[in-house]
Amino acid sequence: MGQPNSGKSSLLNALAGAKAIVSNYPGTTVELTRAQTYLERVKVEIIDTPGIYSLSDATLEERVTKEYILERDYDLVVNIVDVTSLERGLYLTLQLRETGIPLIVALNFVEDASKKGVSININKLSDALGVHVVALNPLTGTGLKALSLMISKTESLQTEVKPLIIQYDDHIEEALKEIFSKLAAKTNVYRRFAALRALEGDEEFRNLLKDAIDNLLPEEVKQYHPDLSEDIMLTRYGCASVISKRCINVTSIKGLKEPLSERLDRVLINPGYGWIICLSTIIAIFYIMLVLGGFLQDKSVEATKAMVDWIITSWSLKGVAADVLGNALRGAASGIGIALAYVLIFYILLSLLEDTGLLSRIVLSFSRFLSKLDLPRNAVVPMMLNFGCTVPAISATRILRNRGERLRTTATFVGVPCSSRTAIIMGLVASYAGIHYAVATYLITILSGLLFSKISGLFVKVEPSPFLLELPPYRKPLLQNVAVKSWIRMQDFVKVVIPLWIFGGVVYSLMEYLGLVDFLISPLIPLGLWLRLPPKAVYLSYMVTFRRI
Amino acid sequence: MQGELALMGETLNLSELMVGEQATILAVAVPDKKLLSRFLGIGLSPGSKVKLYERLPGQLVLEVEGRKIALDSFIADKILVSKEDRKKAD
Repeated sequence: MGQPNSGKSSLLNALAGAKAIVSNYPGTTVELTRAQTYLERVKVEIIDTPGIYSLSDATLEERVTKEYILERDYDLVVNIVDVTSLERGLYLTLQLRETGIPLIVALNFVEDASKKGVSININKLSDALGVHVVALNPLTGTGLKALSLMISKTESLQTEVKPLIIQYDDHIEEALKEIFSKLAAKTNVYRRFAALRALEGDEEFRNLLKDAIDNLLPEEVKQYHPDLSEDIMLTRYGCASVISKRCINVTSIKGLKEPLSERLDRVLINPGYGWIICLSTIIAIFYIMLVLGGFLQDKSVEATKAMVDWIITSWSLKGVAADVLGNALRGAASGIGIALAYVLIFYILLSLLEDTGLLSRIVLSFSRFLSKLDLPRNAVVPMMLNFGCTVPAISATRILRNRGERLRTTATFVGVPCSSRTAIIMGLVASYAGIHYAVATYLITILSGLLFSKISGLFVKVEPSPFLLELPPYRKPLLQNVAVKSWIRMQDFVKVVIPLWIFGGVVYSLMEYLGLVDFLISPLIPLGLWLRLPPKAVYLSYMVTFRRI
Repeated sequence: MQGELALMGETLNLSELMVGEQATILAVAVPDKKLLSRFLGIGLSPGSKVKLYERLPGQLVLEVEGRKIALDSFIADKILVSKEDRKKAD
């Protein structure tokens, strides 16, 4: 585990490699990723937690990770720390050390730091933290052997590690002692840590106390520390800062050229035209998606159709069954073929954006636009996922704070087209009615989504939430990471959308076979006439409705 | 513990810095304690050095611990900093 962008996924991939079976932890989108592999001939399961800045419960990522860490359903925690921002990384490390869980600290980006003139004394750091520290580079493989050896030997190590004790001031220590004695009998973690968490305001640990925390604290403590939790956190940070300063040696390197990334940021974060560049990037992505998708589509449609034919012949289906099932599957197959091509390409491109660090610049630029539309600003990523496929986008809205924000965001999905709808609009409408109509249709669907969200806003108010976003340094993406991430996002599409399509196809062909379609459409034809649509259009919109359901 | 806090300099809100200016954080007044933990984890702590990288409508981009962080101006209003008197050599 570690902070965002500290290199957790790269480490997982470097350790587990292509042999790993990576699977999602069910239930959440901010998932734990699991991979099984052999290290030094010992079978291990490695779990990658979402990146968090601290052990707290302000965000869903933090809650998921905190719960997992405190459940103690593992042998060892590897805390990966980015040396280029050691001080803040150590804040999380110190929290972990206070819990008393078995821990190894893995330092990443040591080479990057030394290029900036920052060198680190690993022995000193290991002494200060009281755990093993190993420097590594997942990209080149440096240090991986040492880490694997440590991991494979954990079973022989003792399970309890002596926790690190940060000395707080006398009043806080007195409060800790008081809370410590009032804690319910058993906690999964070191009791001092539980007492600290209770003092810091963690509800989970406050519930272990027999009385409200306010009644338990000595008057004197309250007097000196009106803001006890803040003082605890600041002391811990001070401790991280001192350790970091003691272990790091900075020599200034003269004549360092302004790196390419700086020049790129001057453009992307420019208050004047930055957003135009970001928007162009997105448009370019759609263009690539449509071109590449078009190229792939024919092949994937052919392949899926051939598979359906093979199913029909090999099961030697005849009569009604062959008709109904064949029609349904063939219809679904062409849909799946088209969608697979576009959805997959879109997610590969999106993961590339994410892993290079470009995505957060785009999120920053679009977040201002979203707040103008009264949409939550964290909704940029779910909304971008929706351009690929709506199902993973809906699960991604879990990162939003409350139901209201989720409703406002998902309401836009009603209109804003996903990649398969984009392909249909750009393919069918453009070839039958012309490109102008296609673009107009596209814009109208987006507008209708935004309008729908606006209407939903009449019922749910969204309070503006404070926005804090890190813009990670640009990095070369690891293709394996990109592939794994795209596949995880594709799984929603494959497991949820495709079965629904097949089901819809079967029901539709059944109804057609039984003559129910005409029956159901007939009451709708007057409505179509009123809207001056030809009866065929009613039939079509009916089909579309049904397929979409 | 944080000796540099005694540094004598002009005290102002983080959002009042000019683009490119560097300062040391004196105090972070976050109403929500849960947010404070996140602030610290991201490196926004008293004693940390920050540089205002860019000013966007309603938002600021800062450089803290060699990383860029974007945050709302209204949060930056609650962060008290001390501007360094001497010009940075680099």
